[in-house]
Amino acid sequence: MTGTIIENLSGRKLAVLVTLLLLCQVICFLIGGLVAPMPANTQTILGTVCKDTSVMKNDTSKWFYNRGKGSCQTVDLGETHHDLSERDIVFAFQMPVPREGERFDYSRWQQNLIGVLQLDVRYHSQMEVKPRSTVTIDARLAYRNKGDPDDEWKLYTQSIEKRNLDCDIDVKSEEYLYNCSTIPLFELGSLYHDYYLLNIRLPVNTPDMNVHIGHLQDIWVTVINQNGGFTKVWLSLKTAFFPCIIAILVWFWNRIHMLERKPVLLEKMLLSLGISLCLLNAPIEYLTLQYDLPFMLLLGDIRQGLFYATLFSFWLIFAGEHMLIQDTSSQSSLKQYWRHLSAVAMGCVSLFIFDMCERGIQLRNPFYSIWVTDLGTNLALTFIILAGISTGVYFLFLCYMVWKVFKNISHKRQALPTMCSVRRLHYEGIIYRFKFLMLATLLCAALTVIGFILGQVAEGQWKWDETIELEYTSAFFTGVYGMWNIYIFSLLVLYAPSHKRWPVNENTSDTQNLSEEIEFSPIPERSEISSLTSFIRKATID
Amino acid sequence: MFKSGVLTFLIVFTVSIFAAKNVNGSQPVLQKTIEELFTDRADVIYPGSCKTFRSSARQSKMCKKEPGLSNIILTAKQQAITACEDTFQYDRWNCSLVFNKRPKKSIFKKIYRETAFVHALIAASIAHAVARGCASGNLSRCACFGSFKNTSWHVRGCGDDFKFGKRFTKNFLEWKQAGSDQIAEIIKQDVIVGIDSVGEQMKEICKCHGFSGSCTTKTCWKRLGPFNSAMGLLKKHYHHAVKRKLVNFTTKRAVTPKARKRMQLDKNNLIYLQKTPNLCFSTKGRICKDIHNCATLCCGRGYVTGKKIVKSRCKCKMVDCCFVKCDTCVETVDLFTCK
Repeated sequence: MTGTIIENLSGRKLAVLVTLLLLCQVICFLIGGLVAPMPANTQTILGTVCKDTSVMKNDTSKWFYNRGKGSCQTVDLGETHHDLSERDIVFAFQMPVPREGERFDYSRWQQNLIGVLQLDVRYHSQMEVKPRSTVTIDARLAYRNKGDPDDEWKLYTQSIEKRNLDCDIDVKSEEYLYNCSTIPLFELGSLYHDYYLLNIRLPVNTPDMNVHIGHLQDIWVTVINQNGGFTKVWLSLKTAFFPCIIAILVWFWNRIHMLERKPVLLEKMLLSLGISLCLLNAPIEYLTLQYDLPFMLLLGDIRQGLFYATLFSFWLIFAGEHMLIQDTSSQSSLKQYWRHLSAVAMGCVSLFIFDMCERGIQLRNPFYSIWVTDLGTNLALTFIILAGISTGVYFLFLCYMVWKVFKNISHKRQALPTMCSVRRLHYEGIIYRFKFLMLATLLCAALTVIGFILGQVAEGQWKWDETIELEYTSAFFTGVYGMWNIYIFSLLVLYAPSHKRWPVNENTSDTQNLSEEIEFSPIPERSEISSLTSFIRKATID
Repeated sequence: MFKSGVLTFLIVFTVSIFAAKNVNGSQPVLQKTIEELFTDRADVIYPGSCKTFRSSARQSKMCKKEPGLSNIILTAKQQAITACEDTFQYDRWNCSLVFNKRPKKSIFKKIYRETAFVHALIAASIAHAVARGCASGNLSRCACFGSFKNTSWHVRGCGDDFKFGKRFTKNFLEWKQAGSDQIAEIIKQDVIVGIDSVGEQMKEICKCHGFSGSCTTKTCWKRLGPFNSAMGLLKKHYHHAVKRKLVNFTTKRAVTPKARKRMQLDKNNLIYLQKTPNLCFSTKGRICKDIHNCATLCCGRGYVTGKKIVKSRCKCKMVDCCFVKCDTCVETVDLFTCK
């Protein structure tokens, strides 16, 4: 009978392979740290206060901006104006802001644009900001492309949004500002156009609209976009990994088809894990350089979620398949694991619903946020807590199963001295390698967690000397991404069925062994599952 | 013996005259610019492209290259003076240009505590105004500071505006060319302390935008506060300023390593050389905030309590989004005036 490759691999070959993989891992980390810039970049824009003298305020063909031909007439809010009403005030944000004497434009490599609003509210003893007051924002977003005339802004999207304003103040003095929380304003999943323009008005259509927001001094908008350099490095990594995983999958599939039996559950799981990694690695971001695809943020979430779901399910089934309690006669199937997998499914489904409620609706209205209304907040929190609970339950369950497997193995190990020497050596090897893989999983998980925590603690940039700078955040992303890719590559390779025969003909004791084994098997060992599993199962029967 | 004594005396005398001249006379651009910006309260328009003050050749070139700059400098000047007058309203030194109302006692004559503070204040204000100008797009030549050079904004992104503001201010005030004698070193440090107090006021804000909006990806940036909050810190620096002695008379000579080492100790403090004269003579007739404040402001001479009818804004409402509309109320308040 045949086993998997890991069981037939010699210690030296395994060591060489592991060293190679570690080398790849280090390269991934260094590419992110040394080549890529930090993942995202911010630009803070101070709103220009423009005067809108038109009568019709809901005319979306009229735009206000502060640079270029036809720029607006600015107003100083510090002075009193008797000729202006609240309706005549527009805050204009033209992005990107110019730098180094050049008029900058967005590149499609920058992928997405997230806007965050910051209100500067000055303390005024007569007009204190009420806690939990809401601010109503009439936001309009326009775009323009290179080559268009300066005043040819076209409407991208428009919405009237409510946001909660949480402000507090330490020193209650007229000259000081409230400490207001930032307000998420919009999320664009694609950065297709070259220039964007945001016009914000604070409407007062009803008597209680925008009255408790205090003395507004300035509005700032911070826009966050992915760095083009980071996108390039990330996409190159994907482009490098994608053919690898395809090739490995094809090879793995061939291996399984070469056997006379049907693939077992573990092999099916490995295959689906590979396919989900394939989906994750597919560099479809190249399309955004040509087409306007606002759903990329959502799609990215879905791809990532799908990958996590398969990885988590794989771990459960991997542990379960080595559990040695099932009756051996039946081929194990996914149905057996429905209780175990329901935690994964629940977590994924609730996260998916949450994501659809937030980023899904943002496809229609980039200014939408689920966190604004009380109902939305509760709904979002419910789904997030549900996902959190399922993850907790999942990990408890997984730990329990792994602990059980280890206990069983050590229990069976005591039975080893009674076996004949060649078989014992062989089984010991299998146990060792099984533990080795468990260790690899733990190591990967631990490294991810440690890396994440380090990233939270560290400033984001590590400096060794004047010349070498390590961009830690990017290094973490590429490192982790590379690590899980390498992990799954090696799983697929090492757990593929081996076509090496057991060294039956080499000496007589082995022949004896084989006959002994056949004797012990109560059923003809037709299925060629991992010999470890068969060993454990057989041992149970012993 | 006697002869050499006279010679030494003569040398010391001439050198100290030169030293005094160096303080008053031909100043570096750094001191000149700050003094002019602070002194001119009438918003005179000068010839040259910087308009707000008599600029040096290099400064004129910078103003010409960046059309928005002269406005930024004007804003910086106005916000510095307004903030200074507001903050020092109830102090013995009320942000005046001269001590004790005597025209000859200019605060720029020697390096007093006040002189050190004004240098910090003006520099801080310029850095703040420049950073703000960059954010609003009024200045178009703000540089991008990434940690890597020679790459475009698309690839690396930009550093924050305050970093540029700091570098620009130092450049504009010709900080590096200010000299390396002790007085220049002190002024230079005061300028840096001032600029940095704007930087210290900046608050870090973060936004999570990772997987499903979680914090797997977090981006942080620093928010430029209003100039007034930096003013609080600057006033603290004013109170905690450190007095230094002039190490040698030959101020033109570069600072000795020993003196430099001593200055390193007080790197985060304002430094001055001359004790402020007693300002008690000029506080007669000044208005104090309350009884407690009167005790210090009036130098123990006591105060007169009067009544005053004050018209003030009250019942203010934010009927509109952005303007304050108030009624005018008439109140009678106690008024304390120093004897």
